[in-house]
Amino acid sequence: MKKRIAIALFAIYVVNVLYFSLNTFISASLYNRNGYYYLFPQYNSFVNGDNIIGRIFYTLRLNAAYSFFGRGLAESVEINFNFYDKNGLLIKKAKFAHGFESGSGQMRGNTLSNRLSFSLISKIESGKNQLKFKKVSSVETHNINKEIKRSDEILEEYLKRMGVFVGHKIGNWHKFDANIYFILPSKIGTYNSKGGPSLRKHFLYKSVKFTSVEK
Amino acid sequence: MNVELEASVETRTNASRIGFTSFFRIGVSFLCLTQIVSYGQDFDKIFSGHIIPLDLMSAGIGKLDTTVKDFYDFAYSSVGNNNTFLYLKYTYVISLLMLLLGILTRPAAVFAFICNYCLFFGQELVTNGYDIFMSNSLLFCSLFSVHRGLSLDQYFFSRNKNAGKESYFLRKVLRVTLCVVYVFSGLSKAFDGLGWWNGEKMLTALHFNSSKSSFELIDSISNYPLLLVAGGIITVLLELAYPLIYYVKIRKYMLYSVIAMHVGIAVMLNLNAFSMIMIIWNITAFYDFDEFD
Repeated sequence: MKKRIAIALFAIYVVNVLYFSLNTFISASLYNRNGYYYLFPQYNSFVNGDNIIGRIFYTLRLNAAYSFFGRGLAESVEINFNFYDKNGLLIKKAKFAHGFESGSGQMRGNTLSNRLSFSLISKIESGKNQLKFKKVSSVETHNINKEIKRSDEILEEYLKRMGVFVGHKIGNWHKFDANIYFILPSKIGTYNSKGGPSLRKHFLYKSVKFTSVEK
Repeated sequence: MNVELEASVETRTNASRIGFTSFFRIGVSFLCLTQIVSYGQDFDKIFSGHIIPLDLMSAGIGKLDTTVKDFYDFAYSSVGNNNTFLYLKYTYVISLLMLLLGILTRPAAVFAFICNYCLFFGQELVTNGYDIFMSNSLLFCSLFSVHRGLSLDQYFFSRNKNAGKESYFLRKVLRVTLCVVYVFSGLSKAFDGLGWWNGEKMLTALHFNSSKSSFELIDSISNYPLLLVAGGIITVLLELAYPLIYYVKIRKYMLYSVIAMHVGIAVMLNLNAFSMIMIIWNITAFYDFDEFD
């Protein structure tokens, strides 16, 4: 009996791990990067819902999708903070990760800042695209504009908090600005760190200035 | 004669079970301990909502695991914000130490899993891919009998020196999961444009490393584009071919190749914890522990 239960649980685990990994692979790699394709939408909503089944599946990682390794690293966002003194002179350039002491802390810091900005930028850009390319009613337009504004405000709030956090290690700064970049790969073989062009190509997405913030 | 042979096979099988279960328990608990200690004072800054409060975090991308949120709501109202994380951290460290030494192994594994889940896994914004493996590893330590062999439980309390037969399920679960992980990662990379085939994605991935010492190494490697192209192609092919590890004849070579790949990831990308947990999983799942006794 014990063995049968174990085999049944093992089978449930294998089927789910395969299903969710396949689903994510089809959705992210073959279907459409911006949307999400469900093989069995009802099953997905059943096991991902906010109910007891959903919680069990999430806690026991039965709905984990293992098809993302190596992809996340390639789509990086970077935030740089520039700190200035009272005369407007640049004192220090820093990243959010520099606010931490340990290597592990810096890595989590990178993850936090990149993911925060990337998810909010995605929301903002997706809203803008909807307004640009889809026919939407005036009510929908209003709601989308509201959502874009809200996401933008949250992004700025995050940037302010992160900047103030990093600023504790900088010292006597008067104001700072936060710049969000997308990192694009350079063409292989066309760079050289010693005197050549930069290894990273940055595409500036947004720049926010914070002049009067409480330290 | 047959009886002797059967006894010998049983001894070898038992030694193998004890070998991989105790290796898994010790490896996982040691890695988790190293990880939590390595944060030092940064731990509170990241995980206690010190910089970005948890409610603002969930407003941003809309997902803080409901179970974890309920736990925090309850804990905050009972012992306060700061104490919640302090107690969680110490409970986690103590239970990991107990798991490492094999004292009350299963309850220790359950506590370690709960603490790990609440600390690392509930907050989507700071959760990395390898957190799934860490959390799963502790879950498996709770579910399977990993307390036999090299444990104080075994030494003091148990006269049964046989590893439970159900411990083989641990190996099966790890094997299946690893095959799914590598094959789908390989497929994703293979279909992700030309980036993994012409070395561009390797270069972008290398930029993920923010360590200064590794940056110079990466810089010099970047001057040899062929290395990046070869690295990308070998990674994709190795991941796609991973299920071949089931063939005993080539198992050793596949295992060493995958371990070498993860050592490379640790050095180049500075993803030490991810590489270590994958190496532990691979060794537990496929290394021949028959000689272990």
